[in-house]
Amino acid sequence: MSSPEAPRMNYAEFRRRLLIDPTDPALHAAAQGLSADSTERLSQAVQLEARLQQALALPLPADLAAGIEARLAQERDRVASGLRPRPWWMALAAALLLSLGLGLWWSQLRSLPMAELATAVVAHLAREPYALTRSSQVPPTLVRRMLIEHGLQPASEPVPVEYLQRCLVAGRWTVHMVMQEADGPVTVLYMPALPNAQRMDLRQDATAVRSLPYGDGALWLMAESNRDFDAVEQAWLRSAGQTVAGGWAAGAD
Amino acid sequence: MDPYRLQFDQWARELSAELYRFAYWLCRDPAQAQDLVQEAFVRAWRARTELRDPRAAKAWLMTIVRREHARLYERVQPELTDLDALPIEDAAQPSAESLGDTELVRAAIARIELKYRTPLLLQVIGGFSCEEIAEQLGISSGAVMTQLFRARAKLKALLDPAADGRVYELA
Repeated sequence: MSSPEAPRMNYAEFRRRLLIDPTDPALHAAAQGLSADSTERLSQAVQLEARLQQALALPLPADLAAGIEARLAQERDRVASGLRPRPWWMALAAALLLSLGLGLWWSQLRSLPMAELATAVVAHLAREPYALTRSSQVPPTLVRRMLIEHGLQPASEPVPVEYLQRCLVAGRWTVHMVMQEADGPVTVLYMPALPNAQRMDLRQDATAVRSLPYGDGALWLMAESNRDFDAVEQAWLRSAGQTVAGGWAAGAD
Repeated sequence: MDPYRLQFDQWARELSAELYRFAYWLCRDPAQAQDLVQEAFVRAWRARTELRDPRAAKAWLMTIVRREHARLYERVQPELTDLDALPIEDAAQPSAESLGDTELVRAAIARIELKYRTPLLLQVIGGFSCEEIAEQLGISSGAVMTQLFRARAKLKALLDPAADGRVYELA
Protein backbone atom coordinates (compact mmCIF):
# COMPACT_ATOMS: atom_id res chain seq x y z
CA MET A 1 0.00 0.00 0.00
CA SER A 2 1.48 3.32 -0.99
CA SER A 3 1.62 6.09 1.54
CA PRO A 4 -0.43 9.21 0.83
CA GLU A 5 1.51 11.97 -0.88
CA ALA A 6 2.48 14.93 1.23
CA PRO A 7 0.58 18.11 0.30
CA ARG A 8 2.49 20.10 -2.30
CA MET A 9 4.28 23.16 -1.02
CA ASN A 10 2.92 26.42 -2.35
CA TYR A 11 5.16 29.34 -3.25
CA ALA A 12 4.53 31.34 -0.08
CA GLU A 13 5.31 28.35 2.08
CA PHE A 14 8.43 27.68 -0.01
CA ARG A 15 9.71 31.21 0.57
CA ARG A 16 8.93 31.00 4.26
CA ARG A 17 10.75 27.74 4.71
CA LEU A 18 13.76 29.04 2.80
CA LEU A 19 14.39 31.37 5.71
CA ILE A 20 13.68 28.74 8.36
CA ASP A 21 16.04 26.07 7.06
CA PRO A 22 17.46 26.43 3.55
CA THR A 23 19.15 23.03 3.88
CA ASP A 24 15.78 21.25 4.12
CA PRO A 25 15.80 18.56 1.39
CA ALA A 26 12.07 19.12 0.83
CA LEU A 27 12.85 22.56 -0.55
CA HIS A 28 15.08 21.16 -3.25
CA ALA A 29 12.35 18.85 -4.41
CA ALA A 30 9.70 21.56 -4.22
CA ALA A 31 11.75 24.10 -6.16
CA GLN A 32 11.45 22.07 -9.33
CA GLY A 33 7.70 22.36 -9.58
CA LEU A 34 7.08 25.90 -8.40
CA SER A 35 7.53 29.23 -10.09
CA ALA A 36 10.24 30.12 -12.55
CA ASP A 37 12.41 31.85 -9.98
CA SER A 38 12.11 29.26 -7.19
CA THR A 39 15.30 27.48 -8.21
CA GLU A 40 17.15 30.79 -8.24
CA ARG A 41 15.76 31.71 -4.83
CA LEU A 42 16.84 28.36 -3.46
CA SER A 43 20.33 28.86 -4.86
CA GLN A 44 20.58 32.31 -3.27
CA ALA A 45 19.37 30.97 0.06
CA VAL A 46 21.94 28.17 -0.03
CA GLN A 47 24.69 30.67 -0.84
CA LEU A 48 23.65 32.91 2.05
CA GLU A 49 23.64 29.90 4.34
CA ALA A 50 27.19 29.06 3.27
CA ARG A 51 28.29 32.63 4.07
CA LEU A 52 26.56 32.39 7.44
CA GLN A 53 28.27 29.11 8.29
CA GLN A 54 31.63 30.50 7.30
CA ALA A 55 31.13 33.63 9.38
CA LEU A 56 30.04 31.68 12.45
CA ALA A 57 33.10 29.41 12.24
CA LEU A 58 35.39 31.70 14.23
CA PRO A 59 39.03 30.81 14.81
CA LEU A 60 39.42 28.96 18.08
CA PRO A 61 41.73 29.92 20.96
CA ALA A 62 44.78 27.68 20.92
CA ASP A 63 44.30 26.66 24.54
CA LEU A 64 40.55 26.06 24.42
CA ALA A 65 40.35 22.36 25.22
CA ALA A 66 43.37 22.53 27.54
CA GLY A 67 41.74 25.35 29.47
CA ILE A 68 38.58 23.31 29.94
CA GLU A 69 40.51 20.28 31.12
CA ALA A 70 42.52 22.43 33.51
CA ARG A 71 39.38 23.98 34.91
CA LEU A 72 37.83 20.54 35.40
CA ALA A 73 41.01 19.38 37.13
CA GLN A 74 40.79 22.40 39.40
CA GLU A 75 37.20 21.53 40.26
CA ARG A 76 38.12 17.92 40.98
CA ASP A 77 40.92 19.12 43.26
CA ARG A 78 38.54 21.43 45.03
CA VAL A 79 36.15 18.56 45.65
CA ALA A 80 38.95 16.23 46.67
CA SER A 81 40.11 18.78 49.24
CA GLY A 82 36.90 18.11 51.13
CA LEU A 83 34.71 20.99 50.02
CA ARG A 84 32.07 18.95 48.20
CA PRO A 85 28.49 19.00 49.50
CA ARG A 86 27.71 16.37 52.10
CA PRO A 87 24.53 14.96 53.70
CA TRP A 88 22.88 17.29 56.21
CA TRP A 89 24.01 15.41 59.30
CA MET A 90 27.60 15.45 58.08
CA ALA A 91 27.27 19.15 57.39
CA LEU A 92 26.01 19.67 60.95
CA ALA A 93 28.88 17.68 62.41
CA ALA A 94 31.32 19.57 60.23
CA ALA A 95 29.86 22.87 61.38
CA LEU A 96 30.31 21.91 65.04
CA LEU A 97 33.88 20.85 64.46
CA LEU A 98 34.50 23.99 62.50
CA SER A 99 33.22 26.21 65.26
CA LEU A 100 35.40 24.41 67.82
CA GLY A 101 38.43 24.70 65.62
CA LEU A 102 37.78 28.23 64.43
CA GLY A 103 39.85 29.88 67.10
CA LEU A 104 42.80 27.63 66.43
CA TRP A 105 42.41 28.15 62.68
CA TRP A 106 42.30 31.93 63.05
CA SER A 107 45.43 32.02 65.14
CA GLN A 108 47.16 29.81 62.59
CA LEU A 109 45.94 32.06 59.78
CA ARG A 110 47.42 35.10 61.45
CA SER A 111 50.78 33.44 61.75
CA LEU A 112 50.79 31.81 58.29
CA PRO A 113 54.18 32.63 56.87
CA MET A 114 54.12 34.84 53.81
CA ALA A 115 57.06 32.89 52.43
CA GLU A 116 54.94 29.73 52.34
CA LEU A 117 52.20 31.59 50.55
CA ALA A 118 54.73 32.91 48.05
CA THR A 119 55.68 29.32 47.23
CA ALA A 120 52.01 28.42 46.79
CA VAL A 121 51.16 31.34 44.49
CA VAL A 122 54.19 30.68 42.28
CA ALA A 123 53.28 26.99 42.08
CA HIS A 124 49.74 27.97 41.05
CA LEU A 125 51.04 29.71 37.93
CA ALA A 126 52.15 26.41 36.47
CA ARG A 127 48.58 25.13 36.59
CA GLU A 128 47.22 27.85 34.34
CA PRO A 129 49.90 28.56 31.74
CA TYR A 130 47.32 29.64 29.18
CA ALA A 131 46.45 32.59 31.44
CA LEU A 132 49.58 34.35 30.18
CA THR A 133 48.55 34.19 26.54
CA ARG A 134 45.26 36.04 26.59
CA SER A 135 45.22 39.30 24.69
CA SER A 136 41.63 40.54 24.83
CA GLN A 137 40.73 42.80 27.71
CA VAL A 138 38.26 41.38 30.20
CA PRO A 139 35.18 43.64 30.45
CA PRO A 140 35.77 46.03 33.37
CA THR A 141 32.32 45.25 34.75
CA LEU A 142 33.33 41.63 35.26
CA VAL A 143 36.57 42.63 36.97
CA ARG A 144 34.74 45.02 39.24
CA ARG A 145 32.16 42.40 40.13
CA MET A 146 34.80 39.80 40.94
CA LEU A 147 36.73 42.24 43.16
CA ILE A 148 33.58 43.33 44.98
CA GLU A 149 32.65 39.71 45.59
CA HIS A 150 36.02 39.33 47.32
CA GLY A 151 35.56 42.32 49.59
CA LEU A 152 37.17 45.11 47.64
CA GLN A 153 35.54 48.40 46.70
CA PRO A 154 37.43 49.83 43.73
CA ALA A 155 37.30 53.61 43.94
CA SER A 156 37.65 54.01 40.20
CA GLU A 157 37.66 51.97 37.02
CA PRO A 158 39.36 48.59 37.64
CA VAL A 159 42.86 48.12 36.31
CA PRO A 160 42.68 46.62 32.79
CA VAL A 161 43.37 42.89 32.78
CA GLU A 162 43.42 40.28 30.06
CA TYR A 163 42.67 37.27 32.26
CA LEU A 164 40.30 36.88 35.18
CA GLN A 165 39.58 33.74 37.15
CA ARG A 166 38.62 32.73 40.63
CA CYS A 167 41.16 30.18 41.86
CA LEU A 168 41.88 28.14 44.93
CA VAL A 169 45.44 28.84 46.12
CA ALA A 170 46.74 27.39 49.37
CA GLY A 171 43.17 26.72 50.41
CA ARG A 172 42.09 30.30 49.79
CA TRP A 173 39.82 31.67 47.08
CA THR A 174 41.81 34.25 45.20
CA VAL A 175 41.22 36.50 42.23
CA HIS A 176 43.72 35.50 39.55
CA MET A 177 44.39 38.15 36.90
CA VAL A 178 46.99 38.78 34.21
CA MET A 179 48.03 42.14 32.80
CA GLN A 180 49.83 42.25 29.47
CA GLU A 181 52.57 44.81 30.12
CA ALA A 182 55.38 46.17 27.93
CA ASP A 183 57.93 43.68 29.24
CA GLY A 184 55.56 40.73 29.23
CA PRO A 185 52.64 39.41 31.24
CA VAL A 186 52.36 40.25 34.93
CA THR A 187 50.22 37.95 37.04
CA VAL A 188 48.24 39.69 39.78
CA LEU A 189 46.62 37.63 42.50
CA TYR A 190 44.37 39.21 45.09
CA MET A 191 44.21 37.06 48.21
CA PRO A 192 41.64 38.45 50.68
CA ALA A 193 41.42 37.94 54.44
CA LEU A 194 45.15 37.84 55.09
CA PRO A 195 45.71 39.98 58.17
CA ASN A 196 49.43 39.29 58.29
CA ALA A 197 50.00 40.45 54.73
CA GLN A 198 53.30 42.21 54.39
CA ARG A 199 55.40 43.78 51.73
CA MET A 200 58.07 41.55 50.18
CA ASP A 201 60.20 41.38 47.07
CA LEU A 202 61.81 38.07 46.23
CA ARG A 203 62.55 35.59 43.48
CA GLN A 204 61.27 32.05 43.51
CA ASP A 205 61.77 29.44 40.79
CA ALA A 206 62.93 32.05 38.27
CA THR A 207 59.85 34.16 39.01
CA ALA A 208 59.98 37.65 40.46
CA VAL A 209 57.41 38.02 43.23
CA ARG A 210 56.14 41.05 45.07
CA SER A 211 53.51 41.07 47.77
CA LEU A 212 51.87 44.07 49.37
CA PRO A 213 49.01 44.60 51.80
CA TYR A 214 45.83 45.29 49.81
CA GLY A 215 42.28 45.54 51.09
CA ASP A 216 42.05 43.09 53.96
CA GLY A 217 44.52 40.76 52.30
CA ALA A 218 47.45 40.80 49.93
CA LEU A 219 48.15 41.59 46.32
CA TRP A 220 50.71 39.31 44.71
CA LEU A 221 52.57 40.36 41.56
CA MET A 222 54.52 37.77 39.58
CA ALA A 223 56.50 37.94 36.35
CA GLU A 224 59.80 36.92 34.80
CA SER A 225 61.15 40.36 35.75
CA ASN A 226 60.08 42.98 38.28
CA ARG A 227 60.59 45.86 35.83
CA ASP A 228 56.87 46.58 35.56
CA PHE A 229 56.05 45.97 39.24
CA ASP A 230 56.21 49.61 40.33
CA ALA A 231 53.85 50.74 37.60
CA VAL A 232 51.47 47.84 38.22
CA GLU A 233 51.51 48.47 41.96
CA GLN A 234 50.78 52.15 41.47
CA ALA A 235 47.90 51.36 39.14
CA TRP A 236 46.31 49.01 41.69
CA LEU A 237 46.80 51.44 44.56
CA ARG A 238 45.24 54.24 42.51
CA SER A 239 42.33 51.98 41.67
CA ALA A 240 41.80 51.46 45.39
CA GLY A 241 41.87 55.20 45.97
CA GLN A 242 45.20 55.08 47.76
CA THR A 243 48.02 57.52 47.20
CA VAL A 244 51.46 56.20 46.49
CA ALA A 245 54.24 57.51 48.68
CA GLY A 246 56.88 55.73 46.67
CA GLY A 247 57.61 52.33 45.30
CA TRP A 248 60.51 49.96 45.48
CA ALA A 249 63.46 50.72 43.28
CA ALA A 250 62.77 48.42 40.33
CA GLY A 251 66.21 47.58 39.10
CA ALA A 252 66.54 45.12 36.25
CA ASP A 253 67.15 41.61 37.56
CA MET B 1 39.28 7.03 38.60
CA ASP B 2 35.85 8.62 38.29
CA PRO B 3 34.13 6.93 35.32
CA TYR B 4 32.92 10.28 34.07
CA ARG B 5 36.38 11.77 33.87
CA LEU B 6 37.36 10.21 30.57
CA GLN B 7 33.96 11.08 29.15
CA PHE B 8 34.25 14.71 30.15
CA ASP B 9 37.78 14.99 28.78
CA GLN B 10 36.50 13.53 25.52
CA TRP B 11 33.64 16.02 25.43
CA ALA B 12 36.12 18.82 26.05
CA ARG B 13 38.02 17.76 22.94
CA GLU B 14 35.02 17.03 20.73
CA LEU B 15 32.52 19.71 21.72
CA SER B 16 34.66 22.66 22.80
CA ALA B 17 34.75 24.23 19.33
CA GLU B 18 30.97 24.34 18.94
CA LEU B 19 30.44 25.41 22.52
CA TYR B 20 33.01 28.22 22.24
CA ARG B 21 31.51 29.54 19.02
CA PHE B 22 28.03 29.35 20.49
CA ALA B 23 29.19 31.19 23.60
CA TYR B 24 31.07 33.79 21.59
CA TRP B 25 28.05 34.62 19.47
CA LEU B 26 25.97 35.02 22.61
CA CYS B 27 28.36 37.36 24.41
CA ARG B 28 30.67 38.49 21.57
CA ASP B 29 33.72 38.55 23.81
CA PRO B 30 36.44 35.90 23.36
CA ALA B 31 37.60 35.85 26.99
CA GLN B 32 34.07 35.77 28.31
CA ALA B 33 33.19 33.02 25.85
CA GLN B 34 36.04 30.87 27.14
CA ASP B 35 34.95 31.48 30.71
CA LEU B 36 31.36 30.58 29.85
CA VAL B 37 32.46 27.31 28.28
CA GLN B 38 34.71 26.44 31.20
CA GLU B 39 31.99 27.28 33.69
CA ALA B 40 29.54 25.16 31.71
CA PHE B 41 31.82 22.16 31.92
CA VAL B 42 32.31 22.69 35.66
CA ARG B 43 28.56 22.91 36.25
CA ALA B 44 28.00 19.88 34.07
CA TRP B 45 30.65 17.99 36.02
CA ARG B 46 28.92 18.81 39.30
CA ALA B 47 25.65 17.47 37.89
CA ARG B 48 27.20 14.63 35.90
CA THR B 49 25.01 11.92 37.40
CA GLU B 50 21.90 13.70 36.13
CA LEU B 51 22.69 13.17 32.45
CA ARG B 52 20.77 10.07 31.44
CA ASP B 53 21.77 9.95 27.77
CA PRO B 54 25.38 10.78 26.84
CA ARG B 55 24.20 11.54 23.32
CA ALA B 56 22.42 14.57 24.74
CA ALA B 57 25.66 16.01 26.10
CA LYS B 58 25.97 18.72 23.46
CA ALA B 59 22.44 19.97 23.99
CA TRP B 60 22.94 19.81 27.75
CA LEU B 61 26.19 21.78 27.65
CA MET B 62 24.79 24.37 25.26
CA THR B 63 21.83 24.86 27.57
CA ILE B 64 24.21 25.45 30.47
CA VAL B 65 26.22 27.95 28.40
CA ARG B 66 23.05 29.79 27.50
CA ARG B 67 21.87 29.91 31.10
CA GLU B 68 25.26 31.02 32.37
CA HIS B 69 25.26 33.79 29.83
CA ALA B 70 21.79 34.86 30.95
CA ARG B 71 22.86 34.66 34.60
CA LEU B 72 25.81 36.87 33.84
CA TYR B 73 23.57 39.64 32.65
CA GLU B 74 21.20 39.26 35.57
CA ARG B 75 23.92 40.43 37.93
CA VAL B 76 26.02 42.63 35.72
CA GLN B 77 24.72 45.38 33.52
CA PRO B 78 27.32 45.51 30.78
CA GLU B 79 28.14 48.72 29.03
CA LEU B 80 26.17 48.04 25.90
CA THR B 81 27.06 49.79 22.72
CA ASP B 82 24.28 50.57 20.32
CA LEU B 83 25.71 48.98 17.18
CA ASP B 84 23.43 51.09 15.05
CA ALA B 85 25.10 54.17 16.49
CA LEU B 86 28.65 53.08 15.68
CA PRO B 87 30.44 55.37 13.22
CA ILE B 88 30.56 53.70 9.83
CA GLU B 89 32.21 54.43 6.54
CA ASP B 90 29.15 55.28 4.56
CA ALA B 91 25.50 55.88 5.17
CA ALA B 92 24.53 52.21 5.48
CA GLN B 93 27.36 49.94 6.58
CA PRO B 94 31.05 49.22 6.01
CA SER B 95 31.80 48.25 2.45
CA ALA B 96 32.55 44.67 1.52
CA GLU B 97 35.85 45.77 0.05
CA SER B 98 37.02 47.25 3.33
CA LEU B 99 35.92 44.44 5.61
CA GLY B 100 35.80 41.31 3.54
CA ASP B 101 32.59 39.38 3.16
CA THR B 102 33.09 37.22 6.25
CA GLU B 103 33.54 40.21 8.49
CA LEU B 104 30.55 41.85 6.86
CA VAL B 105 28.43 38.83 7.65
CA ARG B 106 29.78 38.72 11.20
CA ALA B 107 28.86 42.35 11.73
CA ALA B 108 25.37 41.59 10.48
CA ILE B 109 25.01 38.54 12.74
CA ALA B 110 25.95 40.68 15.72
CA ARG B 111 23.10 43.03 14.89
CA ILE B 112 20.47 40.33 15.08
CA GLU B 113 18.62 40.50 18.40
CA LEU B 114 19.65 37.82 20.88
CA LYS B 115 16.12 36.42 20.94
CA TYR B 116 16.40 35.54 17.24
CA ARG B 117 20.14 34.95 17.17
CA THR B 118 20.04 32.18 19.79
CA PRO B 119 17.89 29.68 17.86
CA LEU B 120 19.88 30.48 14.71
CA LEU B 121 23.11 29.62 16.52
CA LEU B 122 21.64 26.41 17.91
CA GLN B 123 20.56 25.41 14.42
CA VAL B 124 23.67 26.33 12.43
CA ILE B 125 26.44 25.75 15.01
CA GLY B 126 24.73 23.06 17.05
CA GLY B 127 23.03 21.30 14.18
CA PHE B 128 19.80 20.91 16.13
CA SER B 129 16.38 20.50 14.57
CA CYS B 130 13.52 22.89 15.25
CA GLU B 131 12.01 20.37 17.65
CA GLU B 132 15.29 19.99 19.53
CA ILE B 133 15.73 23.76 19.73
CA ALA B 134 12.17 24.12 20.99
CA GLU B 135 12.88 21.62 23.76
CA GLN B 136 16.06 23.44 24.78
CA LEU B 137 14.44 26.85 24.82
CA GLY B 138 11.16 25.72 26.35
CA ILE B 139 9.04 27.10 23.51
CA SER B 140 6.99 25.60 20.72
CA SER B 141 8.40 24.42 17.40
CA GLY B 142 6.26 27.03 15.70
CA ALA B 143 7.86 29.77 17.77
CA VAL B 144 11.32 28.46 16.88
CA MET B 145 10.48 28.52 13.19
CA THR B 146 9.22 32.08 13.49
CA GLN B 147 12.42 33.15 15.25
CA LEU B 148 14.59 31.42 12.66
CA PHE B 149 12.63 33.09 9.89
CA ARG B 150 13.11 36.51 11.45
CA ALA B 151 16.80 35.93 12.11
CA ARG B 152 17.55 35.01 8.51
CA ALA B 153 15.26 37.73 7.17
CA LYS B 154 17.14 40.27 9.27
CA LEU B 155 20.48 38.89 8.12
CA LYS B 156 19.41 39.00 4.50
CA ALA B 157 18.14 42.55 4.85
CA LEU B 158 21.38 43.71 6.49
CA LEU B 159 23.53 42.16 3.80
CA ASP B 160 21.47 43.52 0.92
CA PRO B 161 23.03 46.86 -0.08
CA ALA B 162 19.73 48.03 -1.44
CA ALA B 163 17.84 47.37 1.76
CA ASP B 164 17.56 49.51 4.86
CA GLY B 165 18.06 46.65 7.28
CA ARG B 166 14.41 46.36 8.18
CA VAL B 167 12.58 43.07 8.10
CA TYR B 168 9.26 42.73 6.41
CA GLU B 169 7.15 39.66 6.96
CA LEU B 170 5.89 37.74 3.97
CA ALA B 171 2.40 38.86 3.01
